[in-house]
Amino acid sequence: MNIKRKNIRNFSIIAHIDHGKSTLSDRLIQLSGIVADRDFKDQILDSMDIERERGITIKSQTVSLPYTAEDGEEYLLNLIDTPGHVDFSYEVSRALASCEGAFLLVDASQGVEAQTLANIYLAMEHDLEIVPVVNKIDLPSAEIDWVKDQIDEDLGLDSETALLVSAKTGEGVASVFEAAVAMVPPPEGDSDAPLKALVFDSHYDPYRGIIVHFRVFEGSVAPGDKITFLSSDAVYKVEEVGLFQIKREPVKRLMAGQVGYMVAGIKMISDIKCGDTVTLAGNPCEGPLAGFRDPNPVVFSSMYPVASDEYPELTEALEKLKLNDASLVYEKDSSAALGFGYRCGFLGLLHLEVVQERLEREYDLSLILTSPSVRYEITRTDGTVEIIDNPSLYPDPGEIETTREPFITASIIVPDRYMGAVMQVCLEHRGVSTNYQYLTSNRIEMKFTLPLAEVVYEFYDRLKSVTQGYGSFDYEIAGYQETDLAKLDFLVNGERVDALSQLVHRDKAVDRARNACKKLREEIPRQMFKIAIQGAIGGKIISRETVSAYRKDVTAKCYGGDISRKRKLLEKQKKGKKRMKMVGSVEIPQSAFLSVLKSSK
Amino acid sequence: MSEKNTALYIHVPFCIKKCPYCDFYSVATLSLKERFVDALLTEISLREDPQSAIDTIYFGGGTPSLLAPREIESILSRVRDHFNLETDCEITLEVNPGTVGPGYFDEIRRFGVNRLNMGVQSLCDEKLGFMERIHSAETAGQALRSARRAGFDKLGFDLIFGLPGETETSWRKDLDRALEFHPEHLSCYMLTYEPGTPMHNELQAGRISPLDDESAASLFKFTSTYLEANGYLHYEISNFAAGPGHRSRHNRKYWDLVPYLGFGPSAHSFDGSTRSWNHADVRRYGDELEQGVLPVAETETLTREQVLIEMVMLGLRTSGGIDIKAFEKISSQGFMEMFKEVARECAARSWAMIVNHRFILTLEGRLFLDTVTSLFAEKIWNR
Ligand SMILES: Nc1nc2c(ncn2[C@@H]2O[C@H](COP(=O)(O)OP(=O)(O)OP(=O)(O)O)[C@@H](O)[C@H]2O)c(=O)[nH]1
Ligand code: SF4
Ligand SMILES: [Mg+2]
Repeated sequence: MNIKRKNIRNFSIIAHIDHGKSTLSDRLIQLSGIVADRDFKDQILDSMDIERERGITIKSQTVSLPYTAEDGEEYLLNLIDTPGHVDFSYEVSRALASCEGAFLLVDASQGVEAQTLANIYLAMEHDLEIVPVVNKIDLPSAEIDWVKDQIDEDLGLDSETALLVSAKTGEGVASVFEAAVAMVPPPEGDSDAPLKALVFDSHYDPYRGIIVHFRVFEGSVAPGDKITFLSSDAVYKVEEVGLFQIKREPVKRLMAGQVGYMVAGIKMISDIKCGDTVTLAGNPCEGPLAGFRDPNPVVFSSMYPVASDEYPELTEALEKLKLNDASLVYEKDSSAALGFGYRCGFLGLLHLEVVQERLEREYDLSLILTSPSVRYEITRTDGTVEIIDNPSLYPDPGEIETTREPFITASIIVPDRYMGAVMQVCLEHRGVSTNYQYLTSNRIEMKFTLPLAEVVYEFYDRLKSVTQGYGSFDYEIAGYQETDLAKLDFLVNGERVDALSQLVHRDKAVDRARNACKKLREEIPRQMFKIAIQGAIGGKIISRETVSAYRKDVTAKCYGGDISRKRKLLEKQKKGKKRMKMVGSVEIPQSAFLSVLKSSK
Repeated sequence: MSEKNTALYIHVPFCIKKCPYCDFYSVATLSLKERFVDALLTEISLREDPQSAIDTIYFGGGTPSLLAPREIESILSRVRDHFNLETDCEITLEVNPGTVGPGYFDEIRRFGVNRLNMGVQSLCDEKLGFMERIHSAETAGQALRSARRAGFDKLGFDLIFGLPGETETSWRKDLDRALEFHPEHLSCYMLTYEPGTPMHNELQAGRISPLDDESAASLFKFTSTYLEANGYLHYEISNFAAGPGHRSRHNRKYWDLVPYLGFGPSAHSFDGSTRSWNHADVRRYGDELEQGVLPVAETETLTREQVLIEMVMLGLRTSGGIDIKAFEKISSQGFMEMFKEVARECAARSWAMIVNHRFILTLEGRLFLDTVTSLFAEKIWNR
């Protein structure tokens, strides 16, 4: 397709979680006709299993839609559906770097929420044209006027220009295309200049090597071109370029302003960096594009393969996953109990879960994750300050002058009948209520300052359960405050298991230790001998549980008809065994490591 | 590996009433009995093996004593037509004492049954009530006496112990009553709660509080010592014989992985490497045989690993233990090389000993049978 630059539009759809981005994308894809009806499924861009299971978008996805506008001209609309959850905001910010415009969705029944605001700031940073869209107008609880007021007052946009749509029924959806044509500026850039393109994502394809997702800012690129990546200097010959149209759709050439992919037989993962600039090897551009700022992880945990000999596989899996998840950061780590592994930083707990699941599913690994920790700021008695996120690096308490921990400002929106329960949960987690306001006659927004570490510790689960799923929770990091920390160690049969250690607030230490010991007792199966599980601070034991030795078997009959069944029972146990880790002389199941974070409430 | 057939099992899938703890396949109606017998005769013909050297036939169930003597006669004569029986062939019938009338034992003895396994379960009415058996202790006693009168000199009893609240004293009383009949063979089963049975449901619902581990273990040990003191050999986890010659010829074949043929719904057959089993459904069993098809539900050919695991799993149950030489023949790897850690662990706890190239569990070790088995199994998988 030969499309003029002035007929290209690049835009993202951004919003708070669940406001309907992927559903709106569905409608636009259907309108464009690039997918046959029989191949269509809801939230078609949510292609990963985890996304479909959880019903949320995790990865930004690009799709190029041909559109004949009312002015009779042919346009190519590059739409990027983005995730709404705060843990994936790095995906959003990178998507925005390839766009000139953004459609900001607001759920007509929920109104503006925390990520609505966070995302509009991101879009403004990139100088994008922002088009407000009120979605879900079909809902009986839609309050369009109220939402329009919020668009004017809270977002500072012009509600006169807001599109009113229902992504579900399709009402008003066509107006999104027209608005893209009319309001989003076409990309700038000179197709005749030397190639200058931005790598904003990539993924590994076992047959074709690394597929680079990129946006061309200047120049053009076609199969046969020799290209280079500025930060790695690696040179490759382009085999294929194309557009994302649910499937990869090869084209002859990608020009300035276009978004697409490139195949160049790239096998060296280290050659590809998100944010890098691609140019022609023989005719390079002047200097790199701005790239992306580094992700800012807030939760840290170490990952170990259950089978120690799978460490090389873990290494390779992390490298490949990193191609497709630029927000993942990791470095080598080792544990006396678990051997070699990686210390990883995540943008939040959901991100951590998603990374673990993707590694296990896409790379067939079985992993142990240690207790997630936040970053503490420790000032030693000699005045030096260091940041510590790994309990194994926690200094001797005698050398610590002060410790500070990160706090968040949490915004919790719930029907007001849950106010008391939410208050209770926040107080239990060392929260301080700062204010609250009614959003509608019975929905209330409560604000709290909470230590981030508390949010890591089963806060979500508790909140969800006391609000019966009606609570929405969002937070932003709000700086460090002084705290009183203790390092909690766990001993299994007298041996300290470093991978179980946690940094906790001293007031909570005894409770945590008791709870964790109880959880470990439930998780660790009986073995040949009695197993003592102890929680300790320094040398002092503060909690204790025992796993008694193997139970005696109740003897049963075993004749001709029983043999196969009994053998199969044994074979079933074998599957469970794979997820066990020998620590000293004790077998600890994979699940035990994170169980210590779940309270027994 | 296809060895000669030496054992036949015949599953009779009918009971007067289902006992709440039982997970054998049977139906509590006799309406299909005739059809079943016809189908069974067909199955016997279809599986004929003139090369066989059958020295044991076992009627199990269900309740085989619901078969009329002439039905037993026709089944056995069909077997004789299609299989080669050894002269001293042991023919065992399981008997529910609540099903037999006068003269029954004389008749079946005439037709060739020479060993009885009596489903006594207990000689204490209270226990029989809990197990919802269809007979009383008195009825059981009468059946035993009339079996003896008919000349049966090989009598085995099934007894169940470890019921909720059972103590050593009550169990001992039960055992003593059984011993008065001088059975040649005793099977003493610990009550187990098998998934899918009503008793298991009761347990799940918390309406039954099972015997605790410790009491169950001490009852198990008591049974062994008490019966050994009375002259019985504890030759398999749940089985005792009045002398080496009284061990169940038939069941030992299962534990030794010797081939056997099973007839009737749900019955398993094994040829040394492949095991197959019939549909556990009398109707389907009948339907398929009426069309001349063998009613096989599933077939599995054991991998070498699986054979090794079964050798361990079954060997550990018996007083003969695991036959190390036979094992090594199949594993083509040294037994001690494979299992030195397990052997060391077991030795340290006095759970096992090695005698005459056999790895044998001690009484204490038998309490941890499943555990030891899975320790072995892990080594087999990980080799
Ligand atoms: N009634 C109604 N429901 C809608 C509409 N648009 C989306 N939904 C529903 O809202 C839910 C969330 O929709 P998604 O499209 O997955 O939302 P999203 O913004 O992509 O969510 P994330 O990717 O997780 O941030 C789904 O159950 C949709 O069916 C709408 O216009 N009307
Ligand atoms: S225990 Fe015997 S009588 Fe009772 S249901 Fe089972 S097979 Fe039938
Ligand atoms: Mg989505």
